[in-house]
Amino acid sequence: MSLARSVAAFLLLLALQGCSGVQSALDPSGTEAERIDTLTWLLIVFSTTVFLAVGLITAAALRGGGRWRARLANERLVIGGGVVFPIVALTLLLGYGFYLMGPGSPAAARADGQLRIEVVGERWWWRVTYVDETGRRVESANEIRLPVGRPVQVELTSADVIHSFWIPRLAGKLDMIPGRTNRLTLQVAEAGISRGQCAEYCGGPHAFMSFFAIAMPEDQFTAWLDREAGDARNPSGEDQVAGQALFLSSGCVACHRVRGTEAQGTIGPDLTHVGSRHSLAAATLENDPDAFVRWIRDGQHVKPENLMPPYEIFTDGELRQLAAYLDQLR
Amino acid sequence: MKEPAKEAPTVSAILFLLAGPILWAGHLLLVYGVQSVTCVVGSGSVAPSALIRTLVVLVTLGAILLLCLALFFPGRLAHMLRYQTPDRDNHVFSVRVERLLILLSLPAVIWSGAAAFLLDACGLSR
Ligand code: HEC
Ligand SMILES: [Cu+2]
Repeated sequence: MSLARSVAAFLLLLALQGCSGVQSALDPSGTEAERIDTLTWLLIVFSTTVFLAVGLITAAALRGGGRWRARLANERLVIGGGVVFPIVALTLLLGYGFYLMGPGSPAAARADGQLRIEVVGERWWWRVTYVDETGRRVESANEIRLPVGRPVQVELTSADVIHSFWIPRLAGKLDMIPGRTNRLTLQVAEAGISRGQCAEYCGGPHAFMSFFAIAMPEDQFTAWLDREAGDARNPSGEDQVAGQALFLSSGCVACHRVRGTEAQGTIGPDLTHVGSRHSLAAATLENDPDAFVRWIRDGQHVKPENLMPPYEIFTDGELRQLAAYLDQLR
Repeated sequence: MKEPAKEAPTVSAILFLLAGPILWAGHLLLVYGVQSVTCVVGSGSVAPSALIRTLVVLVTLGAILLLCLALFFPGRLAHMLRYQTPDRDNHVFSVRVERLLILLSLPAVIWSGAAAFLLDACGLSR
């Protein structure tokens, strides 16, 4: 295979790779994303057809000779293709648009009185609060869990600059604007994991402001939410106890909350159940003890300019103890 | 060869031929302008949706009236725009193009006006 051919094949593979996976709008798993996907393909096929037809007509007019030209200059073709066709086609499309955006539309179906999730964009992470049917508020961060098949209302706002909330597999993107609440209804079709990304440049580590959305069957979700609502687990092993002591005495508590302990800071993400999350630091790192160590010591290299100060005061042993403590917060 | 002075100015030709799409674009601009400005300024106090509907209806009726005038009296419009074509074939052709484009613009204007009644006036701006 020549070099050009292999490069082309490689690029094609890359492009195909982009069509599936946890963060692809072309691999929808939510009601709204499915609608967007249908509309996208409809428009692509329709526009391609029109484009090809116009191209053919142009080619026939240029190269086809007198007979073709006479045929193309036919009044019926001009009026049919130039007036009737666009009116019919665009009317249908507009009707579909009105259906999607109008009061009777699926998107307008509010999930009133049901589960609500408030998401606040922060530089550069997500504050997530679940408000269930009974009004119970459960605070978490950097991850969203959703029950399969049930519409959930997501309320979006920002604490600082404009961010944008986008889970391509579940729905279109919606801006998070300070002083304003934008609403989005998410309904997931099947259990599984999707990735979301801040979609509005918000400063330095904007690219590292992501999260995972995890859809789970109804019963599992309810059980999970009950666990998430509870206080943090008490550390048991020696390392874990030492880690908690370090956590409580090293200033972490000024910014982080671990419910059930003295740590009641609210500047940074809630860490009550941080060990059970799918990722760390807004989907920047995996979630395991090594990642905790890296984050605490090298956070400014892992995610430059993020708003947690770096801690170079700890020895390796102390870092391991801290990581052991944080990791068991499940 | 034709005398250049007898040719109609290009601007006139464009304005005449594209009268429909130009009115359509103007209508769209007004409808969206009115909607956005009213939504931002009138926060609930003036019942913006009633106000917006009234304004959109007025703008749309105005645009339809102008489009119909241009459709039924192309001669007047051509005169107003100083679009004189001594060549008879040329004249017939221009008028037909103008009319076809107006026929295309009329439903467009009516549809974008209808949106005011089919959609929540300020709900979707975000
Ligand atoms: C000045 C406030 C501040 C202090 C003090 C602080 N943090 Fe943070 N921390 C933050 C912020 C802000 C973030 C979010 C950073 C980001 O992802 O952009 C964060 C993120 C984290 C995360 C990742 C959370 C998640 O949801 O993935 C962990 C773990 C963490 N901090 C642990 C610690 C530990 C341990 C200490 C004490 C040694 C500490 N922090 C001290 C502000 C602080
Ligand atoms: Cu951002």
